[in-house]
Amino acid sequence: MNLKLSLKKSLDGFSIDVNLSVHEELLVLFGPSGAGKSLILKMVSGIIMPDEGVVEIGNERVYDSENHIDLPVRNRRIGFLFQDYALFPHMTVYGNIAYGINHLKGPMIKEKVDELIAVMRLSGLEKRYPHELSGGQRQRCALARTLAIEPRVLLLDEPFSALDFQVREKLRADLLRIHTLYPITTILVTHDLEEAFMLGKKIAVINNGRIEQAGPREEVFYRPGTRSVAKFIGTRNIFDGTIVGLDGPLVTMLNKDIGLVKAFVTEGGELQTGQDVSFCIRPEEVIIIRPDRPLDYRVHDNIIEGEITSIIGKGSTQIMFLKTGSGDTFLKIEVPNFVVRKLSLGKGRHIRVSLKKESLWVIP
Amino acid sequence: MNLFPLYLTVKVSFVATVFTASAGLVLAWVLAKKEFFGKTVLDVLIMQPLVIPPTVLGYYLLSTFGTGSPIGRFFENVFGMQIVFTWKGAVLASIVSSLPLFVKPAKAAIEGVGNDLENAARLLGKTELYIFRTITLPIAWRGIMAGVVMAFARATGEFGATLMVAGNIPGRTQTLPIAIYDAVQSGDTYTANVLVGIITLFSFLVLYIAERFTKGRF
Amino acid sequence: MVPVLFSLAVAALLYFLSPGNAAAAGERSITAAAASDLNFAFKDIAAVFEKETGIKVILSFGSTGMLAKQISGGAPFDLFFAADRKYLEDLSGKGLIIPSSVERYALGVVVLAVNKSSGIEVRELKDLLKPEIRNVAIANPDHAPYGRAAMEALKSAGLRDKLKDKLVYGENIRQTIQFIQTGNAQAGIVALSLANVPEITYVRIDTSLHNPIDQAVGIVKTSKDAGAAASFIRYVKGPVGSEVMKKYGFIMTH
Repeated sequence: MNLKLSLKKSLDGFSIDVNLSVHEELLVLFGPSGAGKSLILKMVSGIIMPDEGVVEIGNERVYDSENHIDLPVRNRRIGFLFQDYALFPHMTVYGNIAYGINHLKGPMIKEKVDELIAVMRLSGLEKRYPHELSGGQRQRCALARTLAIEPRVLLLDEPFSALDFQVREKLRADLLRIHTLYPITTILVTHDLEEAFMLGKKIAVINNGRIEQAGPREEVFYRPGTRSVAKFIGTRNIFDGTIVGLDGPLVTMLNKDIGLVKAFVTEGGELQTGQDVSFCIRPEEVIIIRPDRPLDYRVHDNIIEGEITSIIGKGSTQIMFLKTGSGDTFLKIEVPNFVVRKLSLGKGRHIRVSLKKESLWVIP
Repeated sequence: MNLFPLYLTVKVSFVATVFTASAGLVLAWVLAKKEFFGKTVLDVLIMQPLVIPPTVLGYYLLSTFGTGSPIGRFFENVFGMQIVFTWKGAVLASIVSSLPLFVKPAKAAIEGVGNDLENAARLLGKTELYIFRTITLPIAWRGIMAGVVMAFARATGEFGATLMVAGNIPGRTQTLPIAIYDAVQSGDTYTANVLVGIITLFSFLVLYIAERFTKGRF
Repeated sequence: MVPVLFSLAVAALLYFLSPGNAAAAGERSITAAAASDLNFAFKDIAAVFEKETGIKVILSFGSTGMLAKQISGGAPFDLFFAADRKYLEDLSGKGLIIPSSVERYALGVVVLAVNKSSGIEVRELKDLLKPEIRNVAIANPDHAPYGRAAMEALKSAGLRDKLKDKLVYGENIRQTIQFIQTGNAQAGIVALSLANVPEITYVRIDTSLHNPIDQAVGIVKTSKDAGAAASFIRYVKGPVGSEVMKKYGFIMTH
């Protein structure tokens, strides 16, 4: 089932105007808090009335403001996962999951519920009440409840944000697994970067009620279309530059602090010399130059020197901040632990890094 | 010892509370869920009996439902019954007095269920009435029962408005509270004490049962 | 649970809407609205009346003003024994009382009463000014005839203004006596007919100080047994009734 939506809504001091198209896949709607993500989901499901717009599922218009179509929530067959699960506290796990299908014949209900309980790893918990479950179990129960009605569209509203790290990882894996089993058109809303990266083959970045960029993951993450998208997706290393040279796909830019920077662009058509642009590079793409090895030709350009001002452990990697240039520019670098150990990197050390031309992304 | 007042009070409080709970539940739901023009006015109107002196309330009821009024005549013609100066007048006075004490806690309980749960139920394909029956009511049950208990207690003790609307007619409209008042006024302290003992025992019993009944819920 | 509530509600509604009960067959009974000051006297008279005639008299006591209001609202009384003729004339004018049935049945008497255990000596109205007397109870002069008379007496004695701060109004004459019985008011002006209680001592007041308390009775137009009503009135004014009334301090004038 394809999902097409085009919605507008104004609230005090804030307005939403979005267009999205999701084709039998999992789309991650990503953006900072307050961007309007949950609101969009609520409008699609019918819980909140848009000011105007269209929502189309498959061939059916469930909402069309111009033609006065507004299918009641209960008829839309849309699955919704709330941030706080919204499990019915007075019903057991079994009861919750069966709620949406309890009008069917007894054996059919049992069959369906049993299947979902097995898939969601909830076996043995059927008779428990929600307050007797852990956070992860609750969310799995809520998901099972939603899937029971065989929805045409699945909307997940920051479903894992209230859980701790390990549980979250497990549930994300569950979700991917389930999406393979039950491939339903899904929108997942999150403000967690990692989650977006892990789950979203397709990502839409939303900010201030507008979609800034939508496309496959690689495109959004590595080729952000605007500065704010770049910021949101954690590129961090965004710098200003003026184009001083253009040679086919090779662009030379001047940054007042770092100096000359060369980058490869795939569509260089619109760029002109003298133009002010931004360029960015992801922290994990910055290459540390090993002092004991000869310089590879690939990292000849864009060599920057600087002092490590801080190192923060992030689990399997370390984040380092490098003070470069005149001292106002900081480069955020992410390296695996073993590299840090091998090169004995630490605060105060001076190192040289290279920004690979291919990894730099230019934003006009 | 004439136990008619006890019989009458039991009858009146039960009937009144059934009405209060039924109508009150609808009102509580409407006030909790709906927005409409004049909503605040309705809310204040329901709360009025708490503020007005009982005799004044009784006077209003007498004017509105009395034998000369349109409503009074309607009931007389269509159902062949008189409201004022009968036990039904006592029921009326009790309903009006105890309604606010039911609606407030019931409304709060219904609001407390929260939109998310009800929306979840909607998304799972259920109708509003079904949601009210299976989600809202069971979860709000405790608060609603609290309202019922309050309403019942109030109906049992109703005095001022009842005196005005039903009158102090022994053997017909003399409820337990009115009988106690009457006995005290006549200086018959013995009867007064006995009646006070009876009404205390009665309320104790009812409230005790209500408490036990609501314990078992989740 | 909801179906239970629903059927309960329906049952209650049906019960509520059922026509009023007819009176018990055979037994004749009348309902008399009576002013509070007749409490003791009428209970005695009604008992004897029932023994002699077999007609049961259900007595509903209250302040004259409130009873009059209730009759205006359609209260199902057969008789109205008021403590003041004025109310009867008013209701008669509204067409609620049979005009020809309005007649005096007694004259009320007020006395100056004091709580015995207070130990305060009260012999005349002037004594109410004593500082040990903090509260003086009278019935509400706005709607209780005995209160009106009490106020008139105080005015005539020139004490009204001086006692203004001490005055406590009782809802009806019974409640007024109660104030004095319980000692919440140390003294007051009450009906003689109710003053014979152990907690109170009293002394008569000069009747020239106030307008007579003209207690009149009338038969309510909607009465279903005007005959029985009339015979009760005659009984009250008759030899047996008059004896009881005089015993309780009423003046019978015929």
